[in-house]
Amino acid sequence: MSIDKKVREWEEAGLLDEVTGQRLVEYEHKKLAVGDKREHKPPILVIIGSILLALSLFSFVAANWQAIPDLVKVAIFLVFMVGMYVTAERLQVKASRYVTLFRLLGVAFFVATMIVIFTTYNLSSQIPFLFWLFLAVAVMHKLIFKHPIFTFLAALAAFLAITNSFEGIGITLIAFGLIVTWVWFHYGDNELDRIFAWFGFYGLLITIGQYVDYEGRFWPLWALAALHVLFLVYRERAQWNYLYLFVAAVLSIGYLINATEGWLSQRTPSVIEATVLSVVLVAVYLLHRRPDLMWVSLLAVIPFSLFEDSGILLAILLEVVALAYLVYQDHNRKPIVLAFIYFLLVQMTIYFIYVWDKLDISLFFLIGALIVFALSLALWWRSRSRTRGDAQT
Amino acid sequence: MKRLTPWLVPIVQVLIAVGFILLVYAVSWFGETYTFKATSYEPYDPFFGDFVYLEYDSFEGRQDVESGTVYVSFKTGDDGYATIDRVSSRPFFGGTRANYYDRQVYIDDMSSYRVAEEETSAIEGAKSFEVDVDVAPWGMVRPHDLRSTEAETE
Repeated sequence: MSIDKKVREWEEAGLLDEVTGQRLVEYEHKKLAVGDKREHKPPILVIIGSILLALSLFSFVAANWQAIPDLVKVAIFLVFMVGMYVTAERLQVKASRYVTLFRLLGVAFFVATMIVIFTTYNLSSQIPFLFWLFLAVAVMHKLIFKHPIFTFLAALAAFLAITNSFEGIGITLIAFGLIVTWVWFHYGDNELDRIFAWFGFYGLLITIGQYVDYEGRFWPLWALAALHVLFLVYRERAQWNYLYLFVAAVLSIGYLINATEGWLSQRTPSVIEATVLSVVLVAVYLLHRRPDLMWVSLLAVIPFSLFEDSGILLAILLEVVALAYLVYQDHNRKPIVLAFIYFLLVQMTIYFIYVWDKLDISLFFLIGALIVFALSLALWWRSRSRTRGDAQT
Repeated sequence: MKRLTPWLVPIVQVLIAVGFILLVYAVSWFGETYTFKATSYEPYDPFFGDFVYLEYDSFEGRQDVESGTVYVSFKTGDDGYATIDRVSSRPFFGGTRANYYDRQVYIDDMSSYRVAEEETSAIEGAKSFEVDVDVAPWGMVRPHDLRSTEAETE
């Protein structure tokens, strides 16, 4: 007998008032509906059966891959790709933690589709374009879905795109890359996006140097100077001075090695170019007047130091700059760890360059370790006395 | 609009894929067909992959450019086979991107040919071929229709 009849019977007998009866009926119906839903779970056998079916479908497709018409191949992958996004949207309410996973699978299937297209139509010469497309898609995911994982996906794609573009980038690809990187830089809503996009710009500028067949040793410096343009556009929210400092630090050490290692340094640079570059590096600092970037403008000395083959001039200069930067940071009560690491790296590079040939290997490492130890001890002592001084004042 | 935004992603991605396929077909629709004479350094064997690697006699020889990336265009010679018309280190409109070193021009997309299922029997064991290549006005190339010339030479 259904609950409705029973309740009506109790009501007629005066055991229940109408409102309570109504509530009872509603409650029972709701319970029934939930139970129904639970029973709709497919039985285990059906699950196993569908897994087997999917596997056999896969092996069938794989076995006949050669015979499948080109367009059908691509269509199969496209259907899977769309399927992933549809699943992601359907899961939005039910199981939201899997949504991003399915979107990632969607990207994976997109890349797979493109690989299928590239291999079936033999487009091997367009492979750099494939990586830039991958970057564009990753950036689109980041902007629309706003999940941090897509930032890392975009960073990976940007890395692949740039490293694959060193040989054979065309003007269209450069334009496309610039647009995508700019979109990422401009609309990416967090610091990390901007950092990666900034490095994307820098890498792209380096590949442009390859494209125009620049023959010289100053291109990385030109690229860094060119990136100061960003400060003109993003005046107020430019909080990433440290990126310039970081690249400047890496470049200074790179040029030190380049200047001293005879087998690396090929030709003497042109005097005019060196002068122009130095002027530009100082000019960009004077234009923006960001205190931190003063250290970047010191790179202006590098073009001239390359005229001297032994590299001693550059070594002394870097030594002075590294020490000055350390003292400056310390004096202004700013964090000195990075300044110290840079100082240490300069010491080690110089030590390697000038001492490696002259000492027995074991002695070389022993003295090297002693230097590092002494310097770290000095830093530790300094930071301790600094915190004490802070506490006293 | 908000509800539709997530769907933008798969739609754009499908469009990219379709666009690429259209681009490939467009090479044949708008391009000019040249017939090249090609040889392979090993006979085609369908059991070892779907590709046959091709070399072109007409790409050999000294060109008046520096080695590295070059751009080339083609013309049909007196014997009915295509040869290189213009070589330049700078890109020009309609130029196909290639590499030049060791007195030889290499074009990535032409140096290997994917053999379709129905073509395997016709070229199995062959070493010298004729191949039709569609060259788009914007420089993309699409080789198709690989034929063995073995029967004629023997």
